[in-house]
Amino acid sequence: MSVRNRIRMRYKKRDIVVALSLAISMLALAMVLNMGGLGILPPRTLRSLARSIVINTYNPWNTTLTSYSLNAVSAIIWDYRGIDTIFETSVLMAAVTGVAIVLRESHKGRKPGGQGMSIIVKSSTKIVMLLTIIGSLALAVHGHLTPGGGFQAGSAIGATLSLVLVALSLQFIHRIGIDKDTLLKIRYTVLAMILAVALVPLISLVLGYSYAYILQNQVREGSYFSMPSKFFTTPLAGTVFVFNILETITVASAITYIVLTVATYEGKTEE
Amino acid sequence: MLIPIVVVLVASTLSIILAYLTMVEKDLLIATIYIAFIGVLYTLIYYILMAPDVVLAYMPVSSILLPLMIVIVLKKTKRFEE
Repeated sequence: MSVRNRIRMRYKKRDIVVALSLAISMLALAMVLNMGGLGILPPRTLRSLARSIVINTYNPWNTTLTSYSLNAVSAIIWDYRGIDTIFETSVLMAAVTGVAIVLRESHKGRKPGGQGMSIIVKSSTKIVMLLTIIGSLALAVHGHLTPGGGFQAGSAIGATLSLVLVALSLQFIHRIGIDKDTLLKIRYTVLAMILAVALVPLISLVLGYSYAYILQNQVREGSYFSMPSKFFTTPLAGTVFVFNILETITVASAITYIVLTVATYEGKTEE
Repeated sequence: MLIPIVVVLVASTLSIILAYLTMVEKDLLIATIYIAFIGVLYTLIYYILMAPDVVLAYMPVSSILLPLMIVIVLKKTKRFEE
């Protein structure tokens, strides 16, 4: 059967016409919006907040505002707007807790079988798994230098592990030491570690060294406390580096936990 | 300078058409494949609009995790929509 026949069998002519007209009307709307027909457009130049962040993310001459992170996005999400990101991580923790509570009876089910796919798929998946995990670790470690960061690296590792769950079997996941309870424990421990790192600057306040702020990274106005800003000659952005690595572990364990729970869940047999 | 604009236009038009076909599709497994393809197109648009952080976060979520979760749910429930 040719492709054209298959398409004709599956869709009526009306569907294609409606889809095309929707697309054309959306494009026309976008063009009108772009020309300023639906309201005032924002200015094309840099606004003042963006300019101050771009100038100050890596600026050794302005020591009270800089964060020594070359990647401006990482500097914003972990230094300038750190509390936002910590609450975001807590929201992900709440989602994981909800999944763990709602699907908690999946433990009692019998052992799910399945031997995985063929040997070709298994071998290529192992190679891809190795490469992807190395790449995402590089993303996490270089999160303050290049695009990327904790969430990106963690979701890549979680996606790789769920690919392993599909291609190789569940027994393989258990054999390399990944278990649902272990993942949940790692998740909560690392979230507690993130909160602890956020509270580390208060030590200098307690010791009477200087004033300090929660989530402080570098020297700020009226406070001399500073996380390490350089590792020999490489910029190390203080808490941004630490938070990136911790966030990688949390997101990877959360995503793997959710996929494992949903995949092994066997609901009540009611028809 | 012209090629990125053309790529964005083609990708966004194709994504709208695929979104409509996803809505009318009765076989939900094929609708899942459409959703994954929409994710690929959006990744392309984000990359051209110079948002590499969003691209890196969107790639695994849109092309692996979302289709995988939908396929698992379809396996436990029903594949065809009445």
